Amino acid sequence: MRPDRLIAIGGNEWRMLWKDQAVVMLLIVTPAVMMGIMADGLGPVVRESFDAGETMSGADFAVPGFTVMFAFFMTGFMANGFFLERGWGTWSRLRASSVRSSEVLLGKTVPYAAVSALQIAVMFAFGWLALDLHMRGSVPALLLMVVAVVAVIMAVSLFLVAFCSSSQQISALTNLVSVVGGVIGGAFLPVDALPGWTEYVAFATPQYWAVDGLTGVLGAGQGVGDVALNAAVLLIGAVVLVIISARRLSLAEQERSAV
Amino acid sequence: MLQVVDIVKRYGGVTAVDKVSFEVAAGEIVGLLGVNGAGKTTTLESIVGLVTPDSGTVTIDGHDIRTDPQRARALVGFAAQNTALYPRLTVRENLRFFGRLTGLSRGEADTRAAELIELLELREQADRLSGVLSGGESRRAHVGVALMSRPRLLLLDEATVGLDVRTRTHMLELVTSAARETGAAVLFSSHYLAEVEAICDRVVIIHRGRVLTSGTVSETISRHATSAVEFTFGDGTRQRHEVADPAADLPPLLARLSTKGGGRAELTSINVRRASLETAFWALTGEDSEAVAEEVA
Repeated sequence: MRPDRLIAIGGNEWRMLWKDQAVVMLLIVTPAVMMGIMADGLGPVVRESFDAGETMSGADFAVPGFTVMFAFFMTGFMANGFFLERGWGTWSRLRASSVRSSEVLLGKTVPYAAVSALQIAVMFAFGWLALDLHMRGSVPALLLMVVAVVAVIMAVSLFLVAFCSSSQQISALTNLVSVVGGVIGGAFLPVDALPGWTEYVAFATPQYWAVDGLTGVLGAGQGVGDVALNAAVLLIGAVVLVIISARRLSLAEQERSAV
Repeated sequence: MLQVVDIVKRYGGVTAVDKVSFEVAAGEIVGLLGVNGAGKTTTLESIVGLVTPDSGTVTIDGHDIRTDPQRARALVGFAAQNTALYPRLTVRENLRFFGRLTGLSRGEADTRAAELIELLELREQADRLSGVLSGGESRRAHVGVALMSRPRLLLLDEATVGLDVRTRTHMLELVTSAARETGAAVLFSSHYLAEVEAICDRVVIIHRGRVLTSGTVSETISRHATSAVEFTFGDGTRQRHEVADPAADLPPLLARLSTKGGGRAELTSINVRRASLETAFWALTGEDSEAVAEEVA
């Protein structure tokens, strides 16, 4: 891999992402409004649902919850970022150049990962400054969780790239993953406050492990050891999704050049 | 520079390209001609590796596109039939980005982009988003991207479609100078036979996936083209006469027509077709013969 090419591809993606105001609206403005509205009302639910609930505020759940819920909308932006290239003809242009597929994939992914991490940081800063968000756990534990959450968002994005064949499919699946996955995974309300059956399904969503880990670090003062399982599940899930997606993309690329 | 040897590409039961072979040397412009669906685009896409042929080989300066694609592609500037630009980036940003991918430094990419913006007369559009450009402006920027790295092999698929006469002439000059001044090998696919005749050293005519002929433009014309005079009459009938020299042979033909006289409808037009790449092309592909109802004199 050549760093100059990675920088060029990443910079190009960053420029296009920066010009798209929808990213800021959906990933930052919307969750900020939702947190502002819901934080106080969630206080009693949080106190009942978490072991350390007595010391936690509504914001200690609402901020990580809505941050995670809306962070998953990045999957749609990233998947569409790949998909649009086909429509513009630039994907063929990249394939016809001397750039390797791995360079394109990595170069295009890094800006989205950076924006995802930035979104989480901005939302937590907003929660700390404007709402009653605490930071009781360790910073390394928080960083570990942020890395794991960003990794799984990138992996789900690649999965959408690999398996969707139209922009409409990407939009539909993004909404499914973000909204339905978010609600079932306990990003909107704690899982304990949801119907009993959701408890079993919640474990299958990345949002459950993400919100549980982040809430534990921020509100309940947990450390790296406490959230290691959450981070491991997210990271292993991400690796599995990347492997499946890479195989699928590689096959699709072979088919495309054969057709 | 480019060697295409016996490439075959089948789509299901249809053979799109059937044992196509040709070469393009450095500094040479070769025209790739064929009607729609003849296999031109599949051939070009096989050369850059966008399509994998079922058999045959493509080598670019000795690098096989299958076994050494990175080195082979690094030598190529490719402008596909459909324009390929990032609509949310300006023309300058598009040029710079693709230039950087070919290994130009930031400074080199800036300089080369500015140079091409001048050469392609895109000064006014340089800092506009590509998505708002007209068809002709997009086409120029699209070809500009292919020229960014000063490629040693330039592949142009219908590069002048949608351009006005002046811009087309300018584009052809640019292609010619890429070959003559920088020594690039150019493979130029086009529907405009007159422009191929004007700038190409050699032509390869393909039809239904097969090479019908290849050679210099003058060889192709002398081997396959004939001049002809076509008379059209008021009742819609036509008479076609193949002639060696239209200027010398037309007067006697007209004289014969007037002596035959009586009963024939009034002559409404005379069409002189000189031997050209176009007449050679039509003679070889046979596409025109059915369109014109001929009355052999």
